[in-house]
Amino acid sequence: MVWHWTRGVYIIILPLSFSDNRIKHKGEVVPSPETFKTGGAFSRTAELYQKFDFLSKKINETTQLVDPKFFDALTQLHQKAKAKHPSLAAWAGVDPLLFEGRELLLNRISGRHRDSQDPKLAYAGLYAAGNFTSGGHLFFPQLNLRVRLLPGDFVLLRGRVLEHQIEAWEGGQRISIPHFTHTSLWRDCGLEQLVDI
Amino acid sequence: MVWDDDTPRKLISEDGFNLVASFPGFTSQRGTVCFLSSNPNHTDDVNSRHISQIASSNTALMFTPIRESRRPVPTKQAHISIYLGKCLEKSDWSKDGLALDKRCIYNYSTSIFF
Repeated sequence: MVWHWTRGVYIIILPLSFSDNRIKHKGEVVPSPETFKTGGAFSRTAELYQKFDFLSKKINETTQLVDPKFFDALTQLHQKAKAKHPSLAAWAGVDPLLFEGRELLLNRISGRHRDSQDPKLAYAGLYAAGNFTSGGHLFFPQLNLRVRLLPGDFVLLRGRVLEHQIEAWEGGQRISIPHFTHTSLWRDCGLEQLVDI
Repeated sequence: MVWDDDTPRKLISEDGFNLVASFPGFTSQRGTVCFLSSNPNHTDDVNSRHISQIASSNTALMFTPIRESRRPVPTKQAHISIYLGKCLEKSDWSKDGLALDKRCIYNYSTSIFF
């Protein structure tokens, strides 16, 4: 009732520019038109997520290792959301990821921000891919901490709590795949208290 | 401060609040990090070239909840500790494969927002 599937791919071809990543909301869980408008589009998307299987499972595992309490809460959310929304249950047959949000960002520099839609006790998981060779650090201004995020690297962070930004990179295309969960889904499932302070 | 090598690290506040966990080489065998599986079905790892190819299909899905209101959150002075970790090779990666030890290597204080 309060969210919907929408396009999760923002393609930016070099030279760099920024995409409009604002999310449109229609108040209902629906598949994105870009994904389901043709059989081929749906097939390719399903294939993509199936090939993310190993990455998704690693992220689930790592989340559990880093914060078992949050992992348990996220598992509860996933189960409850699947029971409530058959479309999500269907998609979970392809994608085992517990985070309900995933984007593919190509060659995008994210400015300083916090993830205002995330619960305070939630994490965001950033995975980097592409063929860039240097730079592209994840910088936390409040901590004065600069974390490597080269292709193949993964960082879990408190995206709602910590300001963060992506720095410039060199050497080629940068693909960023953030994984996240939003407060409104927790609220919809009556589990917001599990991830609030 | 820069975390720029192949060592996974975890940063937590003194009250046990995890802030950042870094896993360099998450999907590769580079450096000290290893999330290998003995399951041959899992050796086809996701790598950047693979994702590049897939991404060219220009399709993906995302579950998108409504936008959360931008409520201000209070500032808190936090005492931060950084822990080194290491990843262990897994025979069954459905079980623990990562060990983050309790050897604190650095302490400092800063302001973060809760």
